[in-house]
Amino acid sequence: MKIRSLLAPILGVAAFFGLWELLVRVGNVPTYALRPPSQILRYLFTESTGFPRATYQTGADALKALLIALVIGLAFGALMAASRWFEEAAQPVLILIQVTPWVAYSASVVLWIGGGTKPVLFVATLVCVPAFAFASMTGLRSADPASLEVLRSVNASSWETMWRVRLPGALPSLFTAARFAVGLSLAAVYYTEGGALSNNGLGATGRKALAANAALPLWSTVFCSAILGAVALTSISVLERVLLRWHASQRRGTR
Amino acid sequence: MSAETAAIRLTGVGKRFGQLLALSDISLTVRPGEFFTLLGPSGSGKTTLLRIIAGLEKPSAGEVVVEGGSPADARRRKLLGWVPQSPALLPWRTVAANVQLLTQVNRSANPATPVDTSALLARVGLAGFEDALPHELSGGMQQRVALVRAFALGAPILLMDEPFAALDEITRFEMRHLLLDLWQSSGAAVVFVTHSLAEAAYLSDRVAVLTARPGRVAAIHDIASPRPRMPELEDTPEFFANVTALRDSLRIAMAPESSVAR
Repeated sequence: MKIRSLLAPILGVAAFFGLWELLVRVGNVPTYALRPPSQILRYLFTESTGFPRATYQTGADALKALLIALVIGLAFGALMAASRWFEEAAQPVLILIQVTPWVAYSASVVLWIGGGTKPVLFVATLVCVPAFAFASMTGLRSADPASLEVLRSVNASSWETMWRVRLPGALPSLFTAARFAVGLSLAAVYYTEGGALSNNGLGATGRKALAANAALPLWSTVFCSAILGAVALTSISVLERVLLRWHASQRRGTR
Repeated sequence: MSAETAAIRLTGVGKRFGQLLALSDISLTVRPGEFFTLLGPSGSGKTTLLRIIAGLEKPSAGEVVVEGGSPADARRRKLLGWVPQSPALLPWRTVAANVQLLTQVNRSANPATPVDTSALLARVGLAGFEDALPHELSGGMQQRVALVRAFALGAPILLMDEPFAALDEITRFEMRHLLLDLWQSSGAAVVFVTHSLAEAAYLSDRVAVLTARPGRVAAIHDIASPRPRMPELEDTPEFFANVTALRDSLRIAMAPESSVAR
């Protein structure tokens, strides 16, 4: 069971790379558009120099943005769960943030805040906040009324109720939001890095490669971003396994 | 009975939800250590009455005194053990942690000597299940954890809202006996809401029969069966006589208003 569940995703990815390789080689795809994975890997491991650094930079910024967005989103979610009035005031703003294409304004944010890491963190945090805010609100509100009453019957403070009942109960929806936000955060970091060229993350490397018409470095940044995303999602799954072992979604035999 | 010797005293308690009169002019006294049952048809407001005693609901009329103070005071001082209809266990907490939950909040009101919860768990047959999660337990086991959680407070009053209603008949039968066992060594007064005649007759010292909407006290029955009561009691003529008396009383209570003698 263990080996099979490990083997399946590896085989899936290998098949995908095989198909990609085949398509590029047989399909006569121009080399400036797409490179086969074998070339990208060879380039990454033999010729390139800056990629481990750039990957670290992008990964660290995406993680920072996620964590800041989680904290802000939780605060918003808690206030919205507590007050209908605040919910009605905050909801349109959050939806506006969520539906506005951040690609359209990220360059302006760079002009406004300046180059480097700051605009990158700003955009990535901003776009991730709504997901966490809505997930926290729903999660905190969905606590079992009977459990809440049991705590009321001994006059537990609202902080105690938050900490012992509402917050643990909100974890499943927070994890769902995190899965969604990981991709968003990575994309926002990558793209904004491209705009703020002083930063040396994957996005900046990619933008420079694009400008120089260098497909191999460009595709190497894509490759490294994908690995970052995969590592992030795997970490979330592991964390979910540990923290949500009580939840129906994580139980063996119920899926 | 004087106020000092009453665990709970209700005087003229009424409750109105908008146009609906749910409870009307309820006056009752529950003695310390007594097992007191509220029996009534659905819609008689027995759960509402229990919630008023717990301070989870405000009465529209009348006065509620719990251990010499208001229900809110009683909650602040942790004098009430609340057992809801569903076990309401926290699914991420183990059995042991669920049982400890109420002693971990509002800590300043905890009793000086904590209740030995592992002994209580053993007593209800849950020794060895301390580290289990609620979803690994049967419905009856979950409800036993909920009982222990309430008894773990060491409170002088326990309020139980049809705690066995969702269980199958065989499990309910066992639970009655377990509950009496826990209660007898606790010395607490219990207010027990049920619509089961057998539960009322087996468990109670006294049973208040409530009328259908609005809920009023139609009759109060003394159940004189000696204690400790054993499951065999349910096969005795005495038990059947008590059940029959309660059933008759309930039938009168459920009749249309005009036929109730007032």
